[in-house]
Amino acid sequence: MKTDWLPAQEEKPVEAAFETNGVRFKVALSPYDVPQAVRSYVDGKHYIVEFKYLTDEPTNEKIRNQFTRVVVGQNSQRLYKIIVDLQSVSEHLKQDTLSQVEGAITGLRTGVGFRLGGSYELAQDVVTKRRDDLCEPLTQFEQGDSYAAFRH
Amino acid sequence: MIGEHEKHIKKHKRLRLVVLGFTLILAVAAAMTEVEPSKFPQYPLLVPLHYYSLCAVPFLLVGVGVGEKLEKRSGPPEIWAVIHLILTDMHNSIFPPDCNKAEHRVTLFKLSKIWRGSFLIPIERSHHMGRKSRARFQVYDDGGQQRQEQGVAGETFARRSCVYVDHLPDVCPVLGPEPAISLLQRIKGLFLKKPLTDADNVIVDSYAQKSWTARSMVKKNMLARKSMPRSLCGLPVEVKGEVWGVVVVDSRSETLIEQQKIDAFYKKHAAVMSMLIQYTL
Repeated sequence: MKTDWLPAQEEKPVEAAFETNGVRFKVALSPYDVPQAVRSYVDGKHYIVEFKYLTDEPTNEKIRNQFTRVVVGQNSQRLYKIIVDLQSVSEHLKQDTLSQVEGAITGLRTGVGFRLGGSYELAQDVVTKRRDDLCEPLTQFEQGDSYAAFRH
Repeated sequence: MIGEHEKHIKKHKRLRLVVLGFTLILAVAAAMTEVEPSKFPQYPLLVPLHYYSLCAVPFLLVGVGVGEKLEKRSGPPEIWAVIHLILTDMHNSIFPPDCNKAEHRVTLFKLSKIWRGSFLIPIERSHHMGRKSRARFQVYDDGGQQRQEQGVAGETFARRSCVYVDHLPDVCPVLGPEPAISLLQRIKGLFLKKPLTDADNVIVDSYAQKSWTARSMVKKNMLARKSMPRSLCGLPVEVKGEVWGVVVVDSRSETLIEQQKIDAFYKKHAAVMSMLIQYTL
């Protein structure tokens, strides 16, 4: 079951002051890079966290590790989805799954510039703030009959 | 610069006339092919007309098809009128209503690829003032090294982020009031290299460096006594995840009046603008 889109709470704009060749200027994150909403759902054996932006674009899937994949924008490299293989998580379903999600975003944040770093940071903030709502599909999955069969 | 919406309305009208003309001629030619000239010996002109019509019909059919295709491709001109309205609305929500519209502007630049490279070219501007612009900024979207002379528009394009620059030097007042010179001297001045004082040169260098503008452009504007913006803001415009162009807000004020207003307006309208532009592609 897919949860409804949960609007990302209004954040303080991500800004940074730069100085190159003696020129001082301010740079702020483009509204296109700010996640507008988030939702999560369990699809078969996968837990998916999906982000919504102002506009859509074609996407590419990237493998982060054996159990986690991320879907990023083909042109913008914005984070659109995080897919966690539920077979990889232990008994602590919610805790482990969410830590995989956060680990995936942290992995993406390393070695990127201001724009992508800011966008991923906002995505991470949304996940942290909406943690309880995002866990809802996992709770339902845990309580469902399919979970026992899945574990077995 | 003629506003893109005006250009499109004109282009659309012209194309419609062409298609109508072709359709009309096609109808006449098609009718002529049905006429048998031997039945009307009193009209000798019918013979060549009949044969020319037979040859012309396929070409006319192609002409009508191409015209209609071009008409569809140019997109509905109303879209550009809406984009113009958004820019004007943005101007109204950022700047005071009684401000000089030529000194505070909102301009939409489009990325255009021509044989010399990729350039950001102004295509639409808020209100009706200051629309004669030859400003264009080269960008390097092929991964090449960015250069100094790309303007705030080019810097915004390269960074894909909103760029704010303020407290730029005042270029115009340095020269003081314009001396009364004759028309002949003015014409001579166009061809002779006018010297700048050391103080002027410092201002020109400082302005060019701080705004990523070519020194020659600043100098030209200074000599022409053309005012240059003192604060600038570049906002990227994306279509399907690719940067299509840039919106530049420029002002003669030392600081952009309220940056929050720019951000708030753009946040609300960026998606609409993106969708409208998508229909014109």
